[in-house]
Amino acid sequence: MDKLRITAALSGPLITGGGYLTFDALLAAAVYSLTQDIDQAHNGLPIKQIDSLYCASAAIFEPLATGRMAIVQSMRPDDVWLDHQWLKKNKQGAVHTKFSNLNDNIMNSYKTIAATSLTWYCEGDADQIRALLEHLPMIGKKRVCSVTRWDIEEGDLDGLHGFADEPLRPVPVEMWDGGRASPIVDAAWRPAYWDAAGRTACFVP
Amino acid sequence: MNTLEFFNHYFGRHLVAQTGNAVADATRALSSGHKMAKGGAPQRIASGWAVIAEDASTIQFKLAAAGLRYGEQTRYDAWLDALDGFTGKPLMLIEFDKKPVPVANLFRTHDLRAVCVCSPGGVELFDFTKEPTPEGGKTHKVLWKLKLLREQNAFKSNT
Repeated sequence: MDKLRITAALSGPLITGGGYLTFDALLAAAVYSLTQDIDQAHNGLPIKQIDSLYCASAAIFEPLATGRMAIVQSMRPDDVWLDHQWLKKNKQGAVHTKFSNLNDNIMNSYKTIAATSLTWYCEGDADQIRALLEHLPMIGKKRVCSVTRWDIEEGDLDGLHGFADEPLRPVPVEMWDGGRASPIVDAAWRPAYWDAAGRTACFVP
Repeated sequence: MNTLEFFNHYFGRHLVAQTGNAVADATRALSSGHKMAKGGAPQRIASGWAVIAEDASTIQFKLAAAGLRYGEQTRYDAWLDALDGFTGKPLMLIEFDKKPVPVANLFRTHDLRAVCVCSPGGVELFDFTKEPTPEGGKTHKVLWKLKLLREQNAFKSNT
């Protein structure tokens, strides 16, 4: 495992629902899309782990501008992932195909970040990471934020501690051995990051 | 103790039986009906506020649950009291509404530089050691104004 610095050159604004966008979460998305294996995506990444904590930083960027964007997601009944047994049927037993079939056209608000690039630090296997990044053509909610180039080079940081000994990613209080000036907040520190059950008091970037 | 264990231990267990599944237990506490102090049909917590803390958890909605304290103040007064008396022990500040608070929106406050107010619509996160900016959230602005008002009143009563 080597200390690495990974940079993604972006073609458009990053649209994100929040979170720290840690590098292991990004690789997990690539692994899952390739293997459909959630255990491998969460636990089998080519990044060093210390007691289940990945040595992989959150995304680091310098925003040129930030904003908000609302996106309506319609739960269309012809989506392949939606099981038809749960959908309303007409008298003939056929599934309604009108847009209003479901009462959940969900509108969510997202943050937009205009930045030319995103950078991560991690300790991992460069060759395996490079192979996985080839399967990540975009980052965030929309394809407008495609990655025009991935750069992997030797890095100075271990993915956990910054140059001023600050945390580069959420690290549980009891596991953190660096500077303690950052505020403590509740955050998920290992995959699955969306799961509230994994949220605990952490030092965060 | 993680976030949901904290919620269930200091609040949820007074309302619903604990099954060991922290997410399910917290969801039931927030979205199912509970006995009311005035009697009648069980009701979901659909208004008011809560301050969950290790010492005591306080809620405005008048439930019949023993083990919880019940407060009469406005949400901002209650939250400001909690933040004024902050000792470094974690707090959870919740705003209830008709729509249940999702478990995903539960966060504790460990530091006045990162105060979290949880509500059905999301989480307002702000630095309560600093004055709110014009772009700051509503809760931060109201609490800061209330804090200044209290300081002014305290100054007047001392002079």
